[in-house]
Amino acid sequence: MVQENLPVLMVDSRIVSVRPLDAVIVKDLELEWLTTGENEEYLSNEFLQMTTKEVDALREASEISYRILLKAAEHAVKQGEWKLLGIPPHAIDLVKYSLANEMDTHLLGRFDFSGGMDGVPIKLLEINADTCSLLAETAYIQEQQWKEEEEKLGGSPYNPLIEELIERFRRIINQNPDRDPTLLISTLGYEEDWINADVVAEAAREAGFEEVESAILERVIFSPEEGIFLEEEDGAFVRYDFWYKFIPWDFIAYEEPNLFDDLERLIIDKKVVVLNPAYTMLLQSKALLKYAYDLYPENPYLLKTTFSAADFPDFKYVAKPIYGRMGENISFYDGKPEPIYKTEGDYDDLPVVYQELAPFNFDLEGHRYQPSIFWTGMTAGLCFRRQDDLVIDDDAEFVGHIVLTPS
Amino acid sequence: MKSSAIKTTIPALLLIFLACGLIFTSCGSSSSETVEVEIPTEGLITTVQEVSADQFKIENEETVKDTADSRIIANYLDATSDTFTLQEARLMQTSGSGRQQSVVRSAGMGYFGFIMLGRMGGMAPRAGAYTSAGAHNKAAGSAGKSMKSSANRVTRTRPSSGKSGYGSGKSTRSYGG
Repeated sequence: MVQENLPVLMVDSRIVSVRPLDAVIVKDLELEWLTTGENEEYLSNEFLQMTTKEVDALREASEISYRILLKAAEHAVKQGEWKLLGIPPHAIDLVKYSLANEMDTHLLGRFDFSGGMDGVPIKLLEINADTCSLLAETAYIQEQQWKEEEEKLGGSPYNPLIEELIERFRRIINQNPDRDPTLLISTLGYEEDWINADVVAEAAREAGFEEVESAILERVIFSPEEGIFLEEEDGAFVRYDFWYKFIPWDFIAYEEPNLFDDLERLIIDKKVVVLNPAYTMLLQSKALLKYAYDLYPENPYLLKTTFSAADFPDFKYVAKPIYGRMGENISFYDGKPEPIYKTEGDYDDLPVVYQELAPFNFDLEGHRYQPSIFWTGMTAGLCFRRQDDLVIDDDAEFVGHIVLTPS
Repeated sequence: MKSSAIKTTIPALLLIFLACGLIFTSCGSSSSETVEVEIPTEGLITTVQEVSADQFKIENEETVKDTADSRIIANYLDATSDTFTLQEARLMQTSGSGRQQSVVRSAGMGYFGFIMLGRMGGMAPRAGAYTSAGAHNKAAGSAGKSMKSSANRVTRTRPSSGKSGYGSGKSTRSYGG
């Protein structure tokens, strides 16, 4: 634990510069969107040197946090706290079904932490259990930058993301021997979401899915009696036995309730396997962090999280919408009744949780660093983002890392 | 990786060429419907002529051996012309200029739409889509006949009920966390 009156080491001593990736390589990777236009400054071209011990600690934090969150979900559901968790009445049955039957089909998620370096304690900020970004940056960009300068950097990134995703898909195929290995992948159409979805598509093909197709949600045909279909350009109606949606369950539950009802029937009647499973809506809800803290107040990874600002009489907390994304609509309080910083966004009508301020690592330029660990039923990779603001949001920079084994 | 631009053009294409539209509802039976569709084995070069500002009609349709060699040739009033591949034509549906969209829409009223995109469904292009009755007859008797006879007919099953169109207009932001 860091002492209040002792200076924390800045991360600068572990930063190594790397050359920007050649534009031709980025084009070959089909990732120009991540490096051009508004994203021109997104890749930091710096790597952090991590020790095996530090990475192992982040992995352990993820494993323990996942178990805690499942326990918290079980506890909250037993209490019937659906409304406070953000699960609307028409979604309860499917989430219950999913908890009882789909616990081994969580394909992919990502934990966001603070701390993790130079003695700053690791704290769980949230888990992006349902739809998580940063896949291509971690799997391809970080990997390629490391390969370009492997000799200079030494070590290697902790980055088994693609391999673990393939392994997870293989297990899911094996768990469903009666189904055809056909996978449809959908987003709502935003380019960044396609970039992430395409990483999942590549892993699915490698894992043995014979048919992997991508289609924007509005093209997908949902027949509650028969399954999920796509009409191909040649007039064929192709049925898919698996559907990976880069579309949050909370979006479906709140914005498209009829689709939610159709999916409930399709899933319970075993017409399709939807990834991620519906119970990830519970894990995605930041309200669950409150129940986790109630159950395990002494756990070193959990920040105090409550439903009432009055629980923080020192006014040191952040208020976060329970289904907020990308750092939107977060209010940062630092000792006064009024927030000292607020982010804009699309989630200002959602209930919020109040979370104690997390300890971050900083560099001399004032960037705060946020480590993220991917999860595929086990830990599956590490990446960092940083930002010189109080909240890491869409303006963050992506930072690579290497793990150095002590000599 | 495929670009989202290509993916998002497909619904527009379907809306234009589908006789029955994207949303179909149950007809009282829970069993699937079987439909026969025709898949072209030949390609098509369609020439459209601008007949008035940004208005086009089909002047000629000729088959080519390979479907990948399909083209739309647009001859403009100012004596200039453009040539578009099938892929370009698809992209132009939504991202093209108004004039380009007009070119593709006009070509699609002939066999380019009805056969190249597999939307025959027992229907045939109307004479009004062509510059003249002669052009219509020639296309029907040669390119149309050839493409129909060489097309592979396959049986498809489509769900008897189903809904689509969910989440439209929501592509302006990321939904990842």
